[in-house]
Amino acid sequence: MSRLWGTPVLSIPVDPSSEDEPSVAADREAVRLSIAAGEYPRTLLLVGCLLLVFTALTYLAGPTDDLGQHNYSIHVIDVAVAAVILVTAYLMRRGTIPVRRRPALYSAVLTLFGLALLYEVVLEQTPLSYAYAVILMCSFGPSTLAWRPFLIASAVLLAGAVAVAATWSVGHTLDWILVAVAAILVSCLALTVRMRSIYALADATALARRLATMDQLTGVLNRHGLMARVPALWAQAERLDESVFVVFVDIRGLKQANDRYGHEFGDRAIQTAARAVVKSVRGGDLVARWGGDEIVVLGLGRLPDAEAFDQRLQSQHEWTGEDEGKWAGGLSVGFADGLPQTDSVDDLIRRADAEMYRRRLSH
Amino acid sequence: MSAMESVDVRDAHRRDVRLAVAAREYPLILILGGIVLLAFRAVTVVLTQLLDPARQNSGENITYLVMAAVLFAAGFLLRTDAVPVHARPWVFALAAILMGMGLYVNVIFVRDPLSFAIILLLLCACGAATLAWLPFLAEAFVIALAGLVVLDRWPIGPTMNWFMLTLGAAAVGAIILNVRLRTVYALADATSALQRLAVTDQLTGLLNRHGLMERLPALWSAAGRLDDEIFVVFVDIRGLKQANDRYGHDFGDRAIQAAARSVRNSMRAHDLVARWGGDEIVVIGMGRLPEAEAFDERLQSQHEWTGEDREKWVGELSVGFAEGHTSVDSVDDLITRADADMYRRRHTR
Repeated sequence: MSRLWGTPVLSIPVDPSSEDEPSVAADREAVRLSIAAGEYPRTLLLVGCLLLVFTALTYLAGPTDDLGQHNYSIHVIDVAVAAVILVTAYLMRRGTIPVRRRPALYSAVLTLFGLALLYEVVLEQTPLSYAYAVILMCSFGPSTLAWRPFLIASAVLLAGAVAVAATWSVGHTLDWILVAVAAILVSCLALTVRMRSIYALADATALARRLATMDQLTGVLNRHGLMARVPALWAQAERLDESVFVVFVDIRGLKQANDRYGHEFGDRAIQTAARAVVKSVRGGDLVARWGGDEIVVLGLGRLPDAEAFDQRLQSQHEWTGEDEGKWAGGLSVGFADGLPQTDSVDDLIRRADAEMYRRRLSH
Repeated sequence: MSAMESVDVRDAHRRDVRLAVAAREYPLILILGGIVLLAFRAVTVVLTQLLDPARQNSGENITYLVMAAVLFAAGFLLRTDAVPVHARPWVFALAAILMGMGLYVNVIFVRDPLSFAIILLLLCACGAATLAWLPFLAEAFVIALAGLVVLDRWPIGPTMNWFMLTLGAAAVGAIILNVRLRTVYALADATSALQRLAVTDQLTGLLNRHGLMERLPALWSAAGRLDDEIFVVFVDIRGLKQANDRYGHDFGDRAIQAAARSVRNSMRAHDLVARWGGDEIVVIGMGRLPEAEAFDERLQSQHEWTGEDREKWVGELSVGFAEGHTSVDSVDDLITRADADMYRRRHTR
């Protein structure tokens, strides 16, 4: 079936390794809830107003039973339900109700509406109100935007529909139950397609956020992205009573390589260097492009052993293809560590930079 | 780009995304709809046979088969590229209308409100699935109008109330269509923001190198068509590296931003301005080269450092020029020449 959907609308490649599952799910959840929070009051307002208009029209259209008498209790029920719907819409718009509670509340209010319609079938003994209830079941899914409240509400409404269809004298019980089931199926289908667009939207916004903190050339963090992550890292280090360290990596002679072989070559050199650094550090360490030819690693814990790290880095730093042998661009490394309570990230980076120069000169 | 133009661009992109989502969904919905319709009918037939064999109606089975055939045909047609993307919503609408007519045939022959209730389902579902206002309104209008005729000639109950039900279902369909379109448009805006991000240098808001390269073919072909020249201006921010080392990267960032602003302000709106390397900005435009001295002066006068930064470091911009013709010069050549010209001018000063 997935083949039927064809290619996704959004085909921007995302490095799967850097994307952790829980955050994707959390992003999607947040986008879904925020869309739902905006839609619910609007939908409820529309439904409430429509209900009032239809109540008025039904009243004007005249009596529906064979005796030619108005059944006022039906109009009273309709107006009462419309009032509940409109009050809920108002409360949601004012923000009185927390966003997480809204799907359940929304479903509860619409379930109440559906049950009222089914009760009117019992009062009136015509299929009209039943047909309204079926319309409600059919539109429930795409407007609820949440599977569990939708399924619970559908189960309740279906039970009500079965009870009503089994006891009334108008139509063929079985047929009417099947219509209710079909309505719920249509609802499921519509909810599925809506969820797909919403998740695509969530992924696109998450990717946009990530791009804003990512260096476009190498895929590691940019300076802004690194700085945004520092407070969390510092707080974590304090909690665990750990030290923090900085590794400063400089790509030697990049400017000359740029001038000599062109910027595309320089770009590949930076990418190669970034790849080597990412492979040489632990998974949780933060890697960022600091300046044009500088890469900074920020991590929690003791400083890596300088010589071993340097060796690991050089062995990872491999040139491939045509670029091999053109330019012996090397990586210079400097280290610094400190405590989150006493050292700022700027200090540590400055010290690591200075240490890098010192090591380079003494080599 | 004026605000009007950008709204047009946004709307065009929204339409493209909407049509793409619709083109992807239609075949699935139509084929799945056909299967559900057949399954629904099969279950009804089996249960009726078990519970109430006298009510079995083979005429109804034929209309259901025809309706399912219409949905399958439309679904498989829309899976191919036979129909242009912008015409697909109308094919979808036509299939929905034909299905509605099939259900009315059942209403007429069986005189059962049940088929009418399924029409209401159809109207609601069309709201969620059509993803286009005009085809949806056409569907709702045709189906509601046919309903009025059918109810009038072959009544199944109070005509006015049943007709209002049709309107109610169409209104609910419209509400669903409205919320779906909102989501799809939000998706369209998010993807265009992503595309913009991918070609923009985040620090300066200028094009990045990738973005410049992407825009070049259009410029080249326009220049070729008009038989016009192409020029390149190469701007280098002098001593940026030293300033970075001495005052920190935040200071360097401000220096680059100030330089980008002054270059952008010195050029015409349709010239392409891009951040080329860490401390280099490249401008590519169509027409004659700007007069070198005048341009240099304009640029330096635009290049204003404000406040405390000014006293720290007098960031200067070095400029180089090159011009050529699209038929003989490649962009790489022009940029290399402009770069070399920049060095030459810097040293002769």
